[in-house]
Amino acid sequence: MILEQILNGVMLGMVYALIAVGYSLVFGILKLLNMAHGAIYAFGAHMAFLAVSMHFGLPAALIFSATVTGILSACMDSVILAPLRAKNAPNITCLISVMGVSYIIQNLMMILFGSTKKNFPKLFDFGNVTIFGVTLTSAQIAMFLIALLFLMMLTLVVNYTKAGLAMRAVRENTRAANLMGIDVRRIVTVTFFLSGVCAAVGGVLVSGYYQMVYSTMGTEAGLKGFSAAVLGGIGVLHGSVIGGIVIGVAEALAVTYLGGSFRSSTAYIVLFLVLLIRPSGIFGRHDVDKV
Amino acid sequence: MMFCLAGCGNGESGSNAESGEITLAFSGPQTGDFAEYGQSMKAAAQIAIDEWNEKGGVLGKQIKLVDFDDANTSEQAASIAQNIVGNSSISAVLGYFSSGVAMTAAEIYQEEGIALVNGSAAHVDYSKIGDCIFRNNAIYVTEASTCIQVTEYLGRKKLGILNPNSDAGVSVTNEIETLIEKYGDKFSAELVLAELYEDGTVDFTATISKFREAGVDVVYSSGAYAQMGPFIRQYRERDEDVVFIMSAGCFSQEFLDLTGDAAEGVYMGTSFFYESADEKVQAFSKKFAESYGSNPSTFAAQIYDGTYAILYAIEEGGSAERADIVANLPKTDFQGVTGKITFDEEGNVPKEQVLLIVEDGAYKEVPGALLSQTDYEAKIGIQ
Repeated sequence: MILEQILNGVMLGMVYALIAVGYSLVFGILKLLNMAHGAIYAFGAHMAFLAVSMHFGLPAALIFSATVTGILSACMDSVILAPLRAKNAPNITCLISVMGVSYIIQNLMMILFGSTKKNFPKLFDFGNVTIFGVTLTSAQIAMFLIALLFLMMLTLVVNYTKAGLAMRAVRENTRAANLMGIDVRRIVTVTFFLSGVCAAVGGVLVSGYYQMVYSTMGTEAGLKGFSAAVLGGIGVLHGSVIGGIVIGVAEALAVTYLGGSFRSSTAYIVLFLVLLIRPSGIFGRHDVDKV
Repeated sequence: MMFCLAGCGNGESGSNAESGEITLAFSGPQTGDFAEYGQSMKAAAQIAIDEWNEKGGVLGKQIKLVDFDDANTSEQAASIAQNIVGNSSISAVLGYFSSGVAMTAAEIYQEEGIALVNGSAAHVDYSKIGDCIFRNNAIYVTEASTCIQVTEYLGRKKLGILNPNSDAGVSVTNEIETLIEKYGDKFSAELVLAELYEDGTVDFTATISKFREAGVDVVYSSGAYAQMGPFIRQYRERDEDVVFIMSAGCFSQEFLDLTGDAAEGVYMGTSFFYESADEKVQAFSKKFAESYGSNPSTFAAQIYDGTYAILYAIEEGGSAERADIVANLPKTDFQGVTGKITFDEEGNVPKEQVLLIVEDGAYKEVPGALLSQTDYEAKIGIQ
């Protein structure tokens, strides 16, 4: 029972982790909380839903969705955030702008796709697997493995490619990176594109896992994903995975021992406790601002 | 973003006596998780009004429906109620979906003396708010009785309950517990686990593990299809034998679409079934399908009858004044699509339910499986 519940929590945690990395990616570079990430994630899921209903097939739908969502995310930066940065707008202006964007995207989806929950095809179905008396469904296993693979690929891109190196350089010191010949403007766009791709991949995986899409799917999941990112140490990619799993397991155990009404509150209590001990999150770096 | 306050009412001024038409208001969720219910209820009210208008309206005047989107939230419901109260052209009000939301609005209508007829609230206290508050829906006691009867009918022994953590959900759970206690050894199954879930829950795996651990073989829920769809799907993947008993909240095409194959074999109790042989039901269902594009749900049918009840009250009383409608509604007596429509002293229409099962992606009636609570109690020998 306890093992089964922990595994249920880990699976749920991977859902949160998929969303959390998007927050981490953008925060790492720009120190900006991209509050539109939840809406962009729902947008990604709806783009895949659109492609699937046009009989594209899931792999094609995933590629279509990742591309369109990546472009949307990059556009959001170019059209709204870049002009604000150019005018040296305070971070809070950017924050409120992206929150506005999230409502615009969400309402647009509600108008275009309606507000009811819609059926989304199952990702995989090869029966159930029982390990140590714990029953895992194929959807759970597939979601876990694909999410893990995707997060590993993402880590490789950030840590071992030239674009990743440039991203990390921008994160360390924007001005110095610029002086070293890095096109900071382009790197920021690439980062937003990548975070859009993350949102889309997360959206498709989660929709396939729960077999549904709906316009407000990003609200609750976005908040939990954001919490997972903070818990793991925002800006640190593998921290998001651990943060997601901690929240997922906390929820599963809360449901087990306290009941379904304690699900979210327990997750946030765990979040507070961890942050009390480690204010920058589990893997967070404690940056000292030098004057 | 989700408001439709502006534009409704059309700035009409003056009382009914002066204007050439009679106005009824409808409020329900047109957006959000419960939108499907609200939209279908509104369509049903409009059908009833169109039918009356075709035969010349009521008191020689045409009838108009103005509608409001409350997104099934108490905040919006209250502000809409204030808006309706202040619009003197509106004679009576229909709608509101959830009990909690309906009760918030009902307090305001009661205070102002406007009749509210609801077709979906099940909380016992709703109609107790006052003499202006009516409903054409099964109350929790009926829902609880359905749960008990179907569990016995199926011969299952270990009952699990999963209800939303709302006024509604908690009341149904309590009602079932009360009935089990009352029936004692006349009820052969055992209630092994009663759980609640937060609104908006998508992942039910932890709850399902608990049910499976407790050996539950039949699950009852009064939840809405938006949550029950994923719940049943996730449960069915892990357990092929468990049986689900749902309420009218899962009697809609959206439930079948969202739940897919996992919906096969799901039972539910409802006071309305569109495939009934009754002529009125057939005519209404046909009209509804033409205008809305799917079969009518229980709530839509109940609002359709509720609209008729208001219009009969206006016709019989010869007045569309707010107070006269309130005074004449209790005299309602007609055969509607959801049975005989008469309000008891609290303002409830006593409901009998039929049992449905999902087979080959469609609802089928299971005849004779459900009795009224009084008949059932007489049958098992409870006073």
